[in-house]
Order: sequence, then C-alpha cells, then structure tokens
Amino acid sequence: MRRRWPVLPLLSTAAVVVVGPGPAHAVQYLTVEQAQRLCFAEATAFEPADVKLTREQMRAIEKDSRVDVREATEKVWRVLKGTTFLGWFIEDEVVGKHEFITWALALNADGAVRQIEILDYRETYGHEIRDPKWREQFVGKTHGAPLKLDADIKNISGATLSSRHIAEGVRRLLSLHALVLKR
Amino acid sequence: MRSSSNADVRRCRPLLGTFVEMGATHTSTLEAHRAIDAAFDEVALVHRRMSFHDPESDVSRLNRQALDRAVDVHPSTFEVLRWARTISEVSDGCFDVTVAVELVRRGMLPRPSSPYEPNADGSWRDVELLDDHRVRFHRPVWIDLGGIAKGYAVDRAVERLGALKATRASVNAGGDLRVMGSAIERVRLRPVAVSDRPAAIVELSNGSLASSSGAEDRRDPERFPGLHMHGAHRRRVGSRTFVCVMAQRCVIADALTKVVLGTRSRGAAILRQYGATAHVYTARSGWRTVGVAP
Repeated sequence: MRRRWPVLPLLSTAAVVVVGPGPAHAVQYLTVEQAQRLCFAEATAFEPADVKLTREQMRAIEKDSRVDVREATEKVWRVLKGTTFLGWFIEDEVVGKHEFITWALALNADGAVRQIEILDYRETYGHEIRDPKWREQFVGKTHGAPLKLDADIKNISGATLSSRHIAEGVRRLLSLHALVLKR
Repeated sequence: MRSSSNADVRRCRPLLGTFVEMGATHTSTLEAHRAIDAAFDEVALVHRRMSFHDPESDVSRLNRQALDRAVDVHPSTFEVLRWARTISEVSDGCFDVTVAVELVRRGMLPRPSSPYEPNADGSWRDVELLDDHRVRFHRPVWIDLGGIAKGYAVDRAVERLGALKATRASVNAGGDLRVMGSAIERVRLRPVAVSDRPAAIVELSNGSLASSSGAEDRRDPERFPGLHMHGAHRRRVGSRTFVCVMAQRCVIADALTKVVLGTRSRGAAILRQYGATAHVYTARSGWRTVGVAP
C-alpha cells in the first residue's frame, strides 16, 4: 500500500532546487489578498511587518525547527480587527524535488495554526511530456475531442506527491513565530 | 463558457500527507469558498481520525487498546472499517488493513505505540465491528487505513460540495479523484515508475478514479516506494504494474487498485461487481482494460 500521511516528519533534509526544464504544470489558487480574506474574514487591517532575519536568528530557527532556513526575509502581516490583534499572516515558499510552492500560514494571536492555504503550485518536471517519444493515447470511453496538451489536465502516476516540505515549512514558521515575531 | 452568474473557485491545502485540490462552481465566489471550506473540514476530519502517525487518531487508539477492550471510534472511521471489511471479504483477504505490520517492518510506517507486536496469524478477520461504533481486535494486529481512507475523504468532500449546492465539483487528493457535474475531466495516466512511456488519457465525469503502482523507483523512492502487500500471502505484488481504477465512489476505486494489483483473473469479477473499470499497464503487455467495459 501507499505511504501514509506523515504529520511530523522525523528527518529534515535540505530542499533541492531542480534545474532543467521549466514548469510543465502551474496553478495559481489564490492571491495573497484572497488568502488573507479567507483566513481572517473578520479582519479590518493587514499591516505589513516583513522580517529580515539576522544570521543568528536564522541559526536559532534552524536549531529549533530542525529545518534549513534558506531566505533571510519573510513576508509577514500583523492582522487586526480595529485595534484588536487577531494574529499573523505569513507568505512563504518551499521547494521540493518536483515542485515549487508558494503558500500561506495564518496564525492565531496565541501562535496556534489557524489555516494553511496553497497560493501557487508549480511542477518542475516537464521533460517527460515534451519528449516527442511520449506517445499518448486515449483508453476507455472518449468524447471524440481532439487530443491536445491541455494545461488543466491532471497527471496521475500511481504515486502520491508528498506534502512533507509544507510540514517542514510549518515547523520552520512556528519557530520564526516563537523566536522572532512574539518577541 | 462561464456564465456571469457562476463562479469557479479552485483551492489546495496540504492534508492526508499530500496536496488536496478542490474545485467548485457555485452561484457566487463567496458561496464557492464557503462550500470548499466545509469540504476541506471533511478531509481534515478524516486526516485527524484515521492517521497512522497521529497518536490521538482513532487508528492509533485501536492499535494501542483494541486488543484489550472494545474501543469507540468516530462513525466515519467505523464506516471506513466497514468498507475495508467488505473489500477484504470479496477479495479473499487480498485487501487487508492489517498489513500495517509489514509496512512497519519495512520502515514505510513508524512503529506505533502499542503494547504488543503482531504475529503472523492476525488478519482483517480479527477486526470485529461491534454495535455503537465500537471495534475490538481478537488477535494482536495493527491496522492502517492508508489504502482506503484517502478515497473515502474524497467522497465525503464531493458529497459535501454537492449538499452545499455546488453545480460542479472536483476533488483530487494526490491522485484519488472524484468529479461531480457535467464537466469532463481529462486525466493523463503516467506509469513513470513502470515505464517511461506511453501515457494514456482517460476521461471522467460524475465518477471517481484512483491509481496505484507496486513499482519502486530507486531514483525517487519517496514518490514511488513501490510497496503493495498482498493481505493473504503477505508478499509484494504489482512490482511491474500500474493500475488505475474508475468507479462511482472513490473509496471503492482506491481500495480496488490494491485488489487489481494483487489478484489476476478474480480482479475482473470484483470490478464488475462494483461497476468498476481498471486500466492496467505493464511494460510487457502495455495497456489493457479489465472489468466493466468503459
């Protein structure tokens, strides 16, 4: 059977940037503004509060979360309803072996995870599809429509794309909150 | 064409260890988002209750306590266990949620916190489903619902989207996919760990699709661990095979992929029993279709 859902992976490994063919498949789900509204429907203000981490802070977050910190800047907003502090909204990126993902983490005022949304998803292994050796054929019932490389077509490979990098990203941002934002 | 009174929304969240993507068409963007929020809650519930990794899940509590006494589980967990039992019965144990112990031994799952170590005698027959959503083990077994719960979560999400009046919906949990409404989804089947080509395209409307491969890809073991165990003889199956099953319900499609990988001629009869079709690829024979003619 397939691998089950790892909630907290035991090991943190450095993400690998794939160099080579461009994205074969990209979806934008939400803009930052849309995600902010979905995560905090009652908010009246999102105050930019970007963070520029010092070398020491980056090391401290890595030690605390056991995840590599690749970027020194983090896009952060303080979320308010009038003068009441509701929590934090953080836009982040993770890079996996096959995917490049922009995502958002919403935290309540106490630092608890409120919501996670994927904003933008890019797959980075297009070489198979562009390879002219790749014959494609319809199997099963079809509706006679001509076959073309539809951007929206779903690729199914019998494997499950792991969301491990997002789980690591959550750990890294929770450390950012504990060690930097909360202070 | 998109009519002016309809809004299409597509969202994605990390759940069940993968990415769950949902699309819905509704009368307004706000209504579409509301319906999708509720559908994500359904998937989150399955994640919480049926995770093998989370010590507070129903599955973990069963693996800890159900040998000692009957354990209460959430009605949704009970429903998945009932589906699992049905598929185990019709497949003579090819599908078996107690193969968890083999996956733990091979390092695919962490050892659960459990006072015992399962022995070779236990099987799905030792998981008794009692009244009031209580479950009892009769032998030391560990269960894992990873081979069926994702499909079930997809069903619940699509049903919720329908109940909240979405006119079109699609839910894709890492390749376990169900669509509702008139739209036709095209799915490219790429058995990349079995062979680099050819791909095939299937079309899906008002139904479900799930796929599995027993093939291991050493270059990418995280995505292609290639471990499917036959429940009865506990050996690896389908190591050179890719299977895609199309059925009305995703829970059936998900579970039957393992049955088709593990059974040869009997698989076709089981597929027909559920009105399901399988597209099977092997490097030697290419594509063939089994079960109900598409």
